Amino acid sequence: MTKAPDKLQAILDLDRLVHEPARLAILSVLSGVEWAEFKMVETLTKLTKGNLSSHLVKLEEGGYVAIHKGYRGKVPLTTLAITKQGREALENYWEQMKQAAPRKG
Amino acid sequence: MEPDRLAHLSRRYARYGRSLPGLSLALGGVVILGFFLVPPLLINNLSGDSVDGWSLLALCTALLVGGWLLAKEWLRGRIYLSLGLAEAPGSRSELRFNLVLTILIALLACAFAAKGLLDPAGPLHPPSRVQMGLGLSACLALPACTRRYIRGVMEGLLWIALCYWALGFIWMAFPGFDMRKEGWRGWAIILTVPIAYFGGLTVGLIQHFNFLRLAREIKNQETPND
Repeated sequence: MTKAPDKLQAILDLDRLVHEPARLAILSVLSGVEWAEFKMVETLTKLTKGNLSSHLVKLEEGGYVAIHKGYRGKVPLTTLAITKQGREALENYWEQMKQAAPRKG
Repeated sequence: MEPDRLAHLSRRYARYGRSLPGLSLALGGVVILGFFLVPPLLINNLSGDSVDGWSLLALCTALLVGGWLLAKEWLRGRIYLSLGLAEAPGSRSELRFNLVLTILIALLACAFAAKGLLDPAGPLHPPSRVQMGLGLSACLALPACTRRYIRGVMEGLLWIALCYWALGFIWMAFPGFDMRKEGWRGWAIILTVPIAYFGGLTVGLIQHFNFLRLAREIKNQETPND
């Protein structure tokens, strides 16, 4: 059983880059796919374009998300993919959350 | 907001752009019925001195298969990818599987055609060089078509089935075809028509209604700040 100080430590050790709700939502959406168009992540997370862009920049700087800007025909197309590092960070985050969560019963 | 649920929703949505054809599958069932009904009508009513059966059947096959591919792409873009493009995990292995199947069916089609041409007692009169060239080009174009238009395994199987039925019904449509002589081979093709038609229609509609439910779930999704 995890003791209270360990739980506190688990909370303190949480990855802040992942812990923010909007970024957690972005990583969660991307964890279900190989890659996705910006529009799809925007629809699923219900974030505004500007908000989503600013969070994506932070995730890209942290190496958790890869952003590719290209064209589909003549239409600009931005695709997003979670990196291996990002996937590991998300898995670690959930592991830490499990450790920090109070036991039932 | 539940992050696990978000991952689940995005995975389900991405599958519709790839391995779940939805209404395209239902349409595939209708196309198979078309293959069964249209070639005999064309051969019996239109074929004459000026227009031969080969050309009519080539036109019919091109219209049905091409129409299905175009309708499939339209449905995919208009309905199943309306929220944006996404690639489901495992897509590359599905494409490899479809390519191998398509190359096999193209080889089989070539063998089938060669056997028909070499058999002097066969029901088909020999096609011209141009027609043979077009047929060979169509077989060679199959893998390229698969690479461009066919995505999931289910779509791949439907695609292969369409090619198989196209060949089978063309064979059966010619006046020289005698069901009594062919026995189980002829019945095996005919019996698959209702199965493919009703199966495609039912599974396709179920997938489509599941997609509509998914779209509603996405629409009612809470925001990260709720």
